[in-house]
Amino acid sequence: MYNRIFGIAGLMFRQAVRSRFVVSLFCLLLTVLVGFTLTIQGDGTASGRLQVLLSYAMGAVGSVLGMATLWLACGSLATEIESRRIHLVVVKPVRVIELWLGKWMGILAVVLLQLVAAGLFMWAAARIGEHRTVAGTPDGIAVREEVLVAREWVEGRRLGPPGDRPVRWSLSCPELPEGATGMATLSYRFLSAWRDQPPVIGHWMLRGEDGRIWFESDCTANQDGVNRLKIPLAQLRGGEPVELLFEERPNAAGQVTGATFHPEREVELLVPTGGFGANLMRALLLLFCHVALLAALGVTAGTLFTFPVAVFASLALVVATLLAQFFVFSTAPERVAHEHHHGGEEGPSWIERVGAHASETVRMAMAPTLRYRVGLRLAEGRRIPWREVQAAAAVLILGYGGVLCLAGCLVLRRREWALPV
Amino acid sequence: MQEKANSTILEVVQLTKVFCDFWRRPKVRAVDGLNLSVRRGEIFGLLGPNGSGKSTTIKLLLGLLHPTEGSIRLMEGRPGDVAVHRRIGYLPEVSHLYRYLTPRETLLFYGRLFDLSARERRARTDQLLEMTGLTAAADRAVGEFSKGMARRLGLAQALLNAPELLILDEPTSGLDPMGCRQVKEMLRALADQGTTILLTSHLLADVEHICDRVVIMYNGKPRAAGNLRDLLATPDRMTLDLPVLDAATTRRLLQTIRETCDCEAELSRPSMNLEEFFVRVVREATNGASAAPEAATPRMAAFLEK
Amino acid sequence: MSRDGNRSEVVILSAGVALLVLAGVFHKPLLKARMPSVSDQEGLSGAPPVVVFTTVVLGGFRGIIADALWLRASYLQDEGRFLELVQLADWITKLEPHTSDIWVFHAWNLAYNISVMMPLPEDRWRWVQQGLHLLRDEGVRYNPSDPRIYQELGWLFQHKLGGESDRLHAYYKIQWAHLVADQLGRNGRPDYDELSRDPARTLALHQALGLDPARMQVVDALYGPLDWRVPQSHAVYWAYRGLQVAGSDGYLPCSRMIYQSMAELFVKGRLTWGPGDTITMLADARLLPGVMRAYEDALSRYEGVGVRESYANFLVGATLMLHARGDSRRSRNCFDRLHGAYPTPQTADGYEAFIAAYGPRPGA
Repeated sequence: MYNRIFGIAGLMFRQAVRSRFVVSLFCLLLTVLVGFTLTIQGDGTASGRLQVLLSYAMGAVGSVLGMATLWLACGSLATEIESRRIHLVVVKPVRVIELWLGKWMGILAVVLLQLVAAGLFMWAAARIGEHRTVAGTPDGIAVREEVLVAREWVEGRRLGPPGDRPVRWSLSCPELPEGATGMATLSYRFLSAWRDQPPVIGHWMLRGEDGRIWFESDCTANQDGVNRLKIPLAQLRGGEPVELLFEERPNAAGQVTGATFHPEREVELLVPTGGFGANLMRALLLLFCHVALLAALGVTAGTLFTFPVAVFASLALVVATLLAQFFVFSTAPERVAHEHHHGGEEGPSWIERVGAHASETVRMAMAPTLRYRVGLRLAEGRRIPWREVQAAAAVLILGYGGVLCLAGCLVLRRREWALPV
Repeated sequence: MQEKANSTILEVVQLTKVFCDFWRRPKVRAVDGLNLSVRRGEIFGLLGPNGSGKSTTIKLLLGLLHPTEGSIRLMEGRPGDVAVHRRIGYLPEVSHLYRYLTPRETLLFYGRLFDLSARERRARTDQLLEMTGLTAAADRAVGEFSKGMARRLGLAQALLNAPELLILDEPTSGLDPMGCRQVKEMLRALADQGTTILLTSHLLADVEHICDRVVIMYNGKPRAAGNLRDLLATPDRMTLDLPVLDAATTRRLLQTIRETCDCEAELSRPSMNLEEFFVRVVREATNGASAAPEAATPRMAAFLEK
Repeated sequence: MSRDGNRSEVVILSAGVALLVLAGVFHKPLLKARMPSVSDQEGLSGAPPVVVFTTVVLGGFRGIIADALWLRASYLQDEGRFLELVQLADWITKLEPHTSDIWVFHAWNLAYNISVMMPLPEDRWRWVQQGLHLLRDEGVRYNPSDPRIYQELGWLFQHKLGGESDRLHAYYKIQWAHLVADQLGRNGRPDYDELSRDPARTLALHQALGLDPARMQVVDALYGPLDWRVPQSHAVYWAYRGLQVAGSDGYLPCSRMIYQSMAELFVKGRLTWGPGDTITMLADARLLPGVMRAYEDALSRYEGVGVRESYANFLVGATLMLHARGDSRRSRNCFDRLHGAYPTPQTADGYEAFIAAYGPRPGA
């Protein structure tokens, strides 16, 4: 069985190489990555530029590789069926699942090769970016401590009633690596009704369960935007619960602003627990899981349709999935009903109801596929945990990929290979 | 063993295939009530003009199409069974090969599909390349091949698993007369060693000398079937084969026959057909096998010899 | 079968012909409707490659792409993630390079909305500069004949840097003064002839501040002597450039910006360095003729849109300020103009009575 699967996979890979697909895709990815590296603008700082570069490079690699893989996968079976080359394969002792898996794995080999190349490029670009900054300068510190790092993060859970002073949160300090040095970051935001309000003068305190104070510091914080407070790792105890307190103090004029914290992500503690290289690898693996799912979608679409129709159908599904959130927002039953109610008209029409129901169904069905996105985490130096990579592999590859594989096999079993096209 | 040799390897009963359009409306009745049975070790010909349903029948036998009606029993199994596919070889009407692969890679790939060990794959590949005269072109891309070379490679892949049943759709299509002759000699040799061969052709001269039994199809229906010798025999005439005699002796002989039998007798000089003449000319011109492998009589691959 | 095939071919051909005819019918009205936008694209032969690409290759799709990028920019801004916004603003403006509203919005967004989100002064200043850069180095380049771009660029100098609405306006003024001093010398007054003869300095000046010495000299001759370290001087420079390309629609805003900025420069148009890294803004009476020229130019074209009132207010202020500084000649001159052009009961009793009524009380 494995002999046949790997045989078909090897053939798929060899065809992709010899038809110049691999080299064309490589050149395209290289062009995009080099293009970004040369033209990208950040916020004027090296760390900002590196963050934008990493974020865009990851997005571009995902998009280009995803679309190319979908295209390759749609053609993997569809073109062989159309050209009838498949006849010589299916009259051999090959099971349909071996055929499906062989094609899929061959495509994954191509994807893996490209991802490794893209990963090496991004790693090199990041390291060059790091070497161009001077360690110890604010920008150099930002590059090393906020971008090229993997930081665990925990959000604080508000304690006490609203208006309670001092404001308190509980959170569990992430596990720290052995002998960790460097700085953790406490990130916090205020809710500002007007722009450019006077700064908030306050005092932060981290207190252990036993009441011992781990760390305290005064701060002058902006009411707009995100504020950061650096905390030496030596003053934290990994894995232990901690209470976080903030008390506003009067400014020089004896006034307090009474600023309230932003309801979303009030406080967040980011603790460096790993390096950039491993985080990049995990991010690429997450990307690989998504692309593997696209490959499965393409192969199965190719069992059902001709090549162009398969590409169109699978792209339509991808687009529908990506837009499902928006459709749900605009056609959700309660929203439609609400608008009609306020518009003084009758209830939603059947088209609106069906549309709302369909989009909700698509959203529900496909939501797990969107759960494991890399997003801005790599660029913001946030750790992508191994358990998330494992979960993504289980859900995207084994779960959704398995369903697509079964569907593809079912179609192949019932398929008449030699029907006139 | 003898019992097995005489047993039926393929049994087709009332096989019908109707092709429908997108709306499932019947469009073409490609095969219509075909009955046939093929015995082990024979060469069976499925003959007929273009569009008579030969290739459709083959595809039904291989599971590439599903019958609308009727049944097929193939080596105690059904078309499409993996166990059945392990024991058959197939050469399609057009050799649909992977154009980016070389012949060697092509055969190694198909060898993997038969689950052959790496060593076995390599050995069989070398033997088949030699047998089909492709050794010199073993590392060229198949996309660069002429139709005849692709056909040879197609035949090689059909023999990779030393099949019990070899199904060949127009095996001589695209081959030059030398290639045709070689293929026919090879098929005969395979049949002599016990391989059952089912082939289709619309070139009757190609199959006349090698088929044991045939079915002649037209418009999807079988029109004649049976042993080729019986079908072609003219029971009210016979020929007398003699060396060339002088004119007087010939006249006397004819006179004697007419007087003795009281019937019409004619004298003619037998001639070889054009294919035989072509083969002789080419073999004389090449003066042996080494100069042109295509002109040589193919040497059977060792793994096919039983 | 063959008859069916023929029938299908006839149907398809007929449909094709019908569609062609329809396309022909709608072609002219469509072209007519597109004329305004087509005329925008006429100068593509000399346009930068990015503009040619976005205009010709992407066609109508560029609007969709720009919308998608804009949505992302809004989302990121709401999330407090600002790093990408310069890049997104750059792409969005390049996708719609001839729509001045887009340039103006994004420059404003960077300089006003995002800058104030930054806790540190140097971060804020960087974002204000990003807004300036977008209009000055990109917007002007892609829309050299659009007075709106010049006017909005001038506004950033006049209001964001020159005004006092931002908590950190003093920091911006100091940083700007440093930038100008690096190029033009510590007093912010170049020798134009010498500057024009030095291509390296000219280029550096253009790259750092977007200024052209020849144009600076013209502006300075008209309204000066300007202290280029003061942001309002740049507001005058860019508004003057807007005037040069403005038709009837765009003239008034640029003209208004010039007289307003000149009026502000008259009050605080001379920068002096204080101890440490501090600055003091002083009045500059030498600019009085320039201010008057700016007002009178505007008045010569526009009478009833607030220019008169503004001029009158300026003359009142200038009369009193010059008197307070002991410059009675110029003060009286201002009063004479005020009374000559806008006589009121307050000016009817003459200069001394006016000063006595509105000027500083003795001992105050």
